Amino acid sequence: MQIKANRELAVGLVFLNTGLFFLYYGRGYAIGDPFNMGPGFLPFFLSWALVALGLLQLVRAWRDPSLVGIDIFRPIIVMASIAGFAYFLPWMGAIVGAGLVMLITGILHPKFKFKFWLVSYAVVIALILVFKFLLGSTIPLWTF
Amino acid sequence: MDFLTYGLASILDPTTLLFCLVGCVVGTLIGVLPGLGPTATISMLLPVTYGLGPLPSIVMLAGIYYGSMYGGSTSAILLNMPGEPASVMTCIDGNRMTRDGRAGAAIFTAGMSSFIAGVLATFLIAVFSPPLSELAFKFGPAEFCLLMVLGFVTVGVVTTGDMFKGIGMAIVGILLGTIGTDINSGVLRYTFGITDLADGIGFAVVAVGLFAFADIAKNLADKLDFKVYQGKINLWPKKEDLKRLIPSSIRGGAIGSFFGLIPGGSAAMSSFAAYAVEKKFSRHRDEIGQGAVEGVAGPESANNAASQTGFIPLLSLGIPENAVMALMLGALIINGVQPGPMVITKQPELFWGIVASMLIGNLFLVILNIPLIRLWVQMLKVPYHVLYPAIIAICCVGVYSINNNPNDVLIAAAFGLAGYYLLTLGLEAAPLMLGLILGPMFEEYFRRQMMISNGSLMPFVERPISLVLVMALTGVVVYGFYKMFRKGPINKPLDVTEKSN
Repeated sequence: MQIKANRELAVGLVFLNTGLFFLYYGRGYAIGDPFNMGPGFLPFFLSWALVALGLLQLVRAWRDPSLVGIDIFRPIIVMASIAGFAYFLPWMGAIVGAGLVMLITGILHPKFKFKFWLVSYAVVIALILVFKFLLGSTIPLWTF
Repeated sequence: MDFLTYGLASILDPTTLLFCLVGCVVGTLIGVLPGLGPTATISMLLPVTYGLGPLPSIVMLAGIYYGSMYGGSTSAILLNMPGEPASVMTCIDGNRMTRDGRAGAAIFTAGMSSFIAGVLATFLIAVFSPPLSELAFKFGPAEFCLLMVLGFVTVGVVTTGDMFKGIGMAIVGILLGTIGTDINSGVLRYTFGITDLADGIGFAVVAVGLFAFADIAKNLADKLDFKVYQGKINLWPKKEDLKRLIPSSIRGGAIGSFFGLIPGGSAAMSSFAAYAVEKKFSRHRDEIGQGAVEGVAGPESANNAASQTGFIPLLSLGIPENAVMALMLGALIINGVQPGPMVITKQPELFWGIVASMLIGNLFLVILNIPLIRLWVQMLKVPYHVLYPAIIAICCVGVYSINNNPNDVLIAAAFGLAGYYLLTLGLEAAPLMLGLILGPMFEEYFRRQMMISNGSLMPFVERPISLVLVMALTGVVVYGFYKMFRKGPINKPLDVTEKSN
């Protein structure tokens, strides 16, 4: 599924919200003065700069109403399966987890074939073993 | 002299040699495969470099970077499909040569010209880095700050093509870089009580998210696909071709070297410039666009030179000029090297080892990419849809292994999602990455300068070197405005491949 959005407006909102976020949560940090800057000095001024850039983008959005198509579901599925890998790793181990991630993300492509999945899965398992036994990763391999 | 003592010692070291070869092979591979670029690969392999030591890490990552410049030309020539952004220009004449039955000559030209330019660039690194680092000893914190600002602004201007967006992304990066413990006051900033965030967000984690995961999501949406090349490749070059490729390679090498040096310059940009120069000044300029050797030699030599001279500012000043160099800086830091002008004098074995490895690496690559080219053509038979699920899985395992922490994988996924949406909005991740890596350094230098100068901003314009940097910065900003307010759509994607058909 795709949605259309005004590109400049979306960029403006990204900047504006990021700026406001850092301003809001950074409000407790001492700003200090130029001679002796506090931890809040740089975030404070940069957040305001970002807010200003965001506002400027809003003006530009009004002058340039070009639209951009944004794919909604596919990226979310990809990232959700990665997040799922991280979350369920202690319960299922890397070998099962990697297979599942590859399956879920692979199916998103119209040309997905189980045969190819199997071959690349074998390669990935070999590489996981390299991480575990040669590079000293403590990743859990198998938990069942 | 230092070269002989330190450089040779490191080339003769089998571990360094091995990592150089690994880097070159991986670089060629990902260069050949469209849809997998050097930035994504280097971020993917950053986790692996933990504990390798600085020299093998950089030798390998550098090999990947310039190796991908060699490999990228193969798919450009055979499939009219750039293997990575810097070989876009090679498509035009390179693929035309293939259609004229001269695929072998085009591949030979690309490999040979890259080699000539690579040796030239290595020579420039050896000659110019030491004096530049001497000069850098005269730099105060003000100069370093300005250099970084210059980097943020130029990278912003050239990658997004829109100064405000680029600067915005750099600021987002610096803000993300403030997450964690403030080194001056010990205050925890933006950690929300999460202990994992006290050390800040790991840049390798962010890099995998922004470059590897987001790129894959983008390629999925773009439905990347290609046909396999079935034709013949006759590598034996004609004398005429040889004669024509040398001047172009030297011109391209010089242009590429320049673009590698300037802040925000990239291998891709240098290949555009080199192609334009060939079109204007080469002896056979009227043939360019119709399968001329110069049209392949120019851009291919330029991108290889640029990917190497980018190390000059990194190793002599400690300031990266683009996203890839920022990742290299990160690799140095995680291996315990504090980048800066002292590196060359304090750790000569590192600097000269890198220089020597580049000579060897280019030699490996010219062998990999000319006599062994058929191997890589076979590789092109692996379609992207088989590849990307495996890349995702390996990235997950790699990110986990950085700190043996599953939360890092979650952070990478979050950055992947954000990065994908930012990409579709025309917001490139490169300035953000630069901001994230350089941000803490920038803050540190800025604070120090303000303390020295009693809260006055004057040192930023008073001192001769800083004045020059301010002038350069003004120039870039003026250029940025000019680029923004010229007529035409704000974000025009580069689409040269279509013109070539």
